[in-house]
Amino acid sequence: MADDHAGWDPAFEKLLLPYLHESVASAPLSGDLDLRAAGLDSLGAVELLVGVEETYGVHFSDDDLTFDMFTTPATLWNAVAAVRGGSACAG
Amino acid sequence: MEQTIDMIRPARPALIHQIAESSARAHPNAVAIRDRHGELTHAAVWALSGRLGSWLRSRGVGPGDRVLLRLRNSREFVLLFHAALRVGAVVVPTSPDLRAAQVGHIVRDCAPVLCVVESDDADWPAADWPTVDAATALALAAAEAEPEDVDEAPAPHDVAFLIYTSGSTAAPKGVVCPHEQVVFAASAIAERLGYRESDVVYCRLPFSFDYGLYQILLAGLAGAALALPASSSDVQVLKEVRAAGATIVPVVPTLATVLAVLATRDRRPTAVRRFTNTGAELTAEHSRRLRETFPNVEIISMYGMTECKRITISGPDDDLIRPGTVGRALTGTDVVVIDELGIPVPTGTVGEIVVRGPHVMAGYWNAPEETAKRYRPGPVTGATELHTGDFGWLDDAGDLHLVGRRDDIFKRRGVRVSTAEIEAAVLAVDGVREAAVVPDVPGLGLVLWYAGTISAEDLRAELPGILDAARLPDRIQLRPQLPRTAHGKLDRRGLVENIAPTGRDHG
Repeated sequence: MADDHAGWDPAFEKLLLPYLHESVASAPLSGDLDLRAAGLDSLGAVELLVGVEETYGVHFSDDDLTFDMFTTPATLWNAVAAVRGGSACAG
Repeated sequence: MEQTIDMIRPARPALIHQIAESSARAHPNAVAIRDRHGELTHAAVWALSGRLGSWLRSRGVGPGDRVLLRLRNSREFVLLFHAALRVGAVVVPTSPDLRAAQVGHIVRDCAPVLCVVESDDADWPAADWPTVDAATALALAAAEAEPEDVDEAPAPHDVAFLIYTSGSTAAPKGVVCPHEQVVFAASAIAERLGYRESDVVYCRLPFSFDYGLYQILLAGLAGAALALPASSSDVQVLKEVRAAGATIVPVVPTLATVLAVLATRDRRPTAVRRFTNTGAELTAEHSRRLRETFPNVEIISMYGMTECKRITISGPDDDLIRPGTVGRALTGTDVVVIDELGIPVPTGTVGEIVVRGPHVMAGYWNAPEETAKRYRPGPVTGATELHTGDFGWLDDAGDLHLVGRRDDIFKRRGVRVSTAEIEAAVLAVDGVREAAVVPDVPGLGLVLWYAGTISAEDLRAELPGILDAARLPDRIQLRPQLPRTAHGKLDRRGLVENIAPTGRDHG
């Protein structure tokens, strides 16, 4: 998995940052950042879910909602890309 | 033949596991547990827990021995819970989210003869303590002969379990829960909550928390089914609620909000008829969102404390007619609001909430001083009463309303935590000289101030290894030294009033 943000747009990072600790938010977001450790809690995750759905005009069905989609920015981006029908991060 | 009251209503069991035994007799083929593996009937739960009991015996577990269960909400937990009670042992449920240092305190405090953990538990030093993983336990138990006399029949006053809960000390203390107090509490709660045999109770609240643990008993008393989470991801909660056909969902405010957000984006109906809430206040806004996203649902407001299990329960939707109510005392118990001198105050006046009744638990394990502070002889009869440390007032209808806490215990993400335990953990980090924590700082959340040689960034990186997520600070601020009051105590108010500009802190 690529350790950069190849493939995701600035809107995606903007969605994520408010849920993360300030220290993380001040540095470039790494694809494999542990989101939970960086401050994303359960309420943050569901709000983020709604945020990505609204921003990208997608809807995750029950089957699309996987337990690990909020692990890292890359897993989340891949989940969004999959629902959009696009390709996942290179790597 | 004349029908008597005893023939109409079954006698209250004397021991906790007799609830499961009665269910097995009354509704053997009804579903007791529904989880990702499928279903277990009440009869199967009783039979399997018997085999596990035999196996525990063969492992040397006997009456009074502690058995620590560090497991997710699962059928394995429920079966081991009953098995341990049946052989007269004391169950110590602990969260798998606790770090090694945190659970170390608990193990040293209660000295279990056996610990059962998940097979993928990365934070458990299996070499240090007598350990077995749950899957192995169940596999070994399956080989045990049909149990004849596995039931030890402890006395009702014997200890059934210890629930470790945060207090004013550096490490959580174990609330000692004997069979008879637990059975009384479960029965009194059941009387108010009205779970039905047809109900499916979705239990996402951890079994290491009494609110979650007692769902096992409440479902058992009603012959209802307990639906257990398939995954630890909160994003899938509504999916699980719907898939399980859940009719009752016990919540805390964070879970209620998660459900409301998920139900806003997914408007398909569910079978949920009722939410119960305790632990922290379900605000008018929380309740409004829940009712909007779950039409036809009833909300029951409650208040309790591990030290006596539950204190008050409201009727369905009482919050609509008496905003802020957490309900009335359990039948057979008393709630009194007292002033600093211990004298009951008039209705409408705020004071400390004190509880009396057969649900008051038997103090803290190996902690006589802490026990004496909270469990005190009442002024009139001398019977032990529980001084909650919570403040509130009673209205003219006899309903309790909460105002707040006096000491340093608070709820975070549904978990009861204390400033003392967080500070103690931070002080244990190399390079930290002083530490002070204040919860709920407006706009900032849980803030940690410290003095020492370690950088804030390094300290931020150390903490997840020693504290679970609910206890991690939102912000960390380094100071040359921490302000003290004239008595030499940490001046937390001074810290809050002089919060450094953002540039100096470490989010």
